[in-house]
Amino acid sequence: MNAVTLDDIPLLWRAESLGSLQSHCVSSGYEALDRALGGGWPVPSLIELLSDDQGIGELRLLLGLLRQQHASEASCRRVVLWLAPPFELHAIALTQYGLIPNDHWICSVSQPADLQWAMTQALRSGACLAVIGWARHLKPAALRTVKLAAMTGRGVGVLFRPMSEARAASPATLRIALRSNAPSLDLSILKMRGRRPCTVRIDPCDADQAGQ
Amino acid sequence: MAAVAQLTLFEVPARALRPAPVPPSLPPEPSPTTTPARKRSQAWLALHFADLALAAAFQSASPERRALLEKSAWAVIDEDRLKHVAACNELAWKYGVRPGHRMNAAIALCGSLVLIPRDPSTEARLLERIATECLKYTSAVSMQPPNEVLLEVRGSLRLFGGPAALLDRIEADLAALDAGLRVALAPTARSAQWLARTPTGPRMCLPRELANVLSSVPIASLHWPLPVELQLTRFGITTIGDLMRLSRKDLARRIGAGPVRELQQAMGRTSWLHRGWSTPPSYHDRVLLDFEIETTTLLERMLERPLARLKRTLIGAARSIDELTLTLKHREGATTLAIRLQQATADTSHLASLLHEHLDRLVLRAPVREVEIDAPRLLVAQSRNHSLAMDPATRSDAPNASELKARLLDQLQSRFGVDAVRALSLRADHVPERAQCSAAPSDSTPVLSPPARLPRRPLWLLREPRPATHEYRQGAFQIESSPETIEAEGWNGPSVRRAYYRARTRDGAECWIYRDLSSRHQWFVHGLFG
Repeated sequence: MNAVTLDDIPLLWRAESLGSLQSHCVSSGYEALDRALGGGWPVPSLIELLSDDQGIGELRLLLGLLRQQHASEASCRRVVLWLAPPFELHAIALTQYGLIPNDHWICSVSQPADLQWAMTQALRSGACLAVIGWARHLKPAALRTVKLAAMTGRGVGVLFRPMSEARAASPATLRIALRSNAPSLDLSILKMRGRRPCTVRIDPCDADQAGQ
Repeated sequence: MAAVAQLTLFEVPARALRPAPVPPSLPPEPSPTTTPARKRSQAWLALHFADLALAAAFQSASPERRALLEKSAWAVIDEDRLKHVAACNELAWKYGVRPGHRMNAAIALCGSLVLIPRDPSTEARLLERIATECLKYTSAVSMQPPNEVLLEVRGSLRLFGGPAALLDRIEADLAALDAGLRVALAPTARSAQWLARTPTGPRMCLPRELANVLSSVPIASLHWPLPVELQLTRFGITTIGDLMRLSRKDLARRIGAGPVRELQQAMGRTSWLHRGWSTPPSYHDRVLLDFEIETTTLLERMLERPLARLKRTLIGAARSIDELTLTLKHREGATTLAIRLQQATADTSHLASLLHEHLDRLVLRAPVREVEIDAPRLLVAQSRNHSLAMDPATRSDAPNASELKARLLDQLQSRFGVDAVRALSLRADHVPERAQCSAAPSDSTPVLSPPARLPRRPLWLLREPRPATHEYRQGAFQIESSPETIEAEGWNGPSVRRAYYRARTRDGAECWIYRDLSSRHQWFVHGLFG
């Protein structure tokens, strides 16, 4: 009996072939995650991180993305804009992870419409390496606008949203649900352009050791 | 670097109006140092506004009044003792009113004559505006108050397609002003000025026909003092041609040295120094709205043209602005909008987008009748080299990162307020909440580096430490590190003695908790390892 594999079927198009279309990737610093994403964080893109808890390593996840500055001259560096973060950023911790606090702008916005506007403008301007925002309800049309802006300005938009939004459709390039499984962190990749959904377990403390 | 009104002096050549024709076969001079540089011939363009007083009075009138003035006979009255008519419109002219009439005589001729007092300052401002507009034809502009502007356009003739085309263009550009403009082009400034004052004279005069053209100019159109004019008429002299036949010395003895010097200047035998006009150090524009505006969207549409005007001024003068003030005038009181930019720019589309954000937030408390646009400083624009945009991949004319950042900051600040965007910076302090501050973003903040051997700090810091003694006693925290003790005695703020631990809660979050050593075993959560 002949076993037929997928490779044998002609005219079968695999979604994984799209992965090579992704122009540029930035290593996340976690080997398992890089493998699952096909190289690292896609750039430019809109990334959605779904989580209900804070303090589970959700920012350490993004450090690889934020560390991709090349220029040392202050006027040439792009900024990271934080929109409505739930707590204050700790400047000393940022320097410990190799980031420069002056490049991190914090903007407090209250309305979802304002958040969407600020995110769109910041991403479109091309001045931002990444724009990180916390939002509850955003319409798919709004998300699409943000994604287009990210593509225009060649930046990365990161949206933290509650886990309840996991079932709603989203045009984001990448969607990851974060669940704490102390001391490690379970990442279920719900959607990644050109790749299969899968689950990855990482240890956020790897980032702590890497920078020491 | 603030732009200062530069006072440049330029002069009419004292001689050699007609450069000796160089035979084409002659080789060029081998060493330019041995021969004195030949003076370049000049071409002067004079703009004479016969009805400047009329135009200035009309421009400063309110829209309702303008509609009235268009239909009726009106005149501008000098504010002297006898109240002479300074200028009048065509309708008044038909009734027989002439400039120079006394007010009573004018009213006797036309009973319904509308009288407007003359305002020299508005006229001066209008002339300044015209001079600024003229900077787009040449950089050598000289104002001749009360109602003339002189331009040296020798270098611009080719650009604008020849003298006739340039004259047509200037006439077309300034036609909307309706100030009785007459232009004339001549080899010397004084002759151009005289030709512009002569209603019947030619518009253009070539260097070789200067003497011919001037000799037919009547004395009456030179605007010389009345006694001089009367004296010359008594001699039987009516044109400049008659005047030039007389001996210069005798003439000077009889009518004074001034007119004779002017004659010499017109012929190009004496130089005439001018004070050059350059862009004023600030910008001011006033828009009288035809009707009262109640919505900001309509207001935004109405501001498109003034912004385009601002852009023309900025680009024409190679200037940029870093601040723009809009004053919206209501029937009573006014609303002021101030836009401050991080970086000076001449790009009005950026200004328009910022203005949109400002107007979006604004609630008009009353209808707007008038808008004033002010830029307190016009700065010298930083010009950048642009690449030839042949290949989109190698194009580098995109604004650099610092310009992009400045623009984004402008946008965010116009929408959310000046204090909405903060950048983090470090301070030298041991207490975590005092060791950082948020300041307005700038590129020049010095970078401090914290001590190298600190234990890992959390990325999230709570705004206020949260009391957690009760939770701790219930065993909610599982401590995972050895203590880091922070003690600080300070003048600024209370003294602090704390032992920090890294702890994990039951639901998996990593916290940064401390025990207050100064008060008896109080526990607080101060951060989260995000």
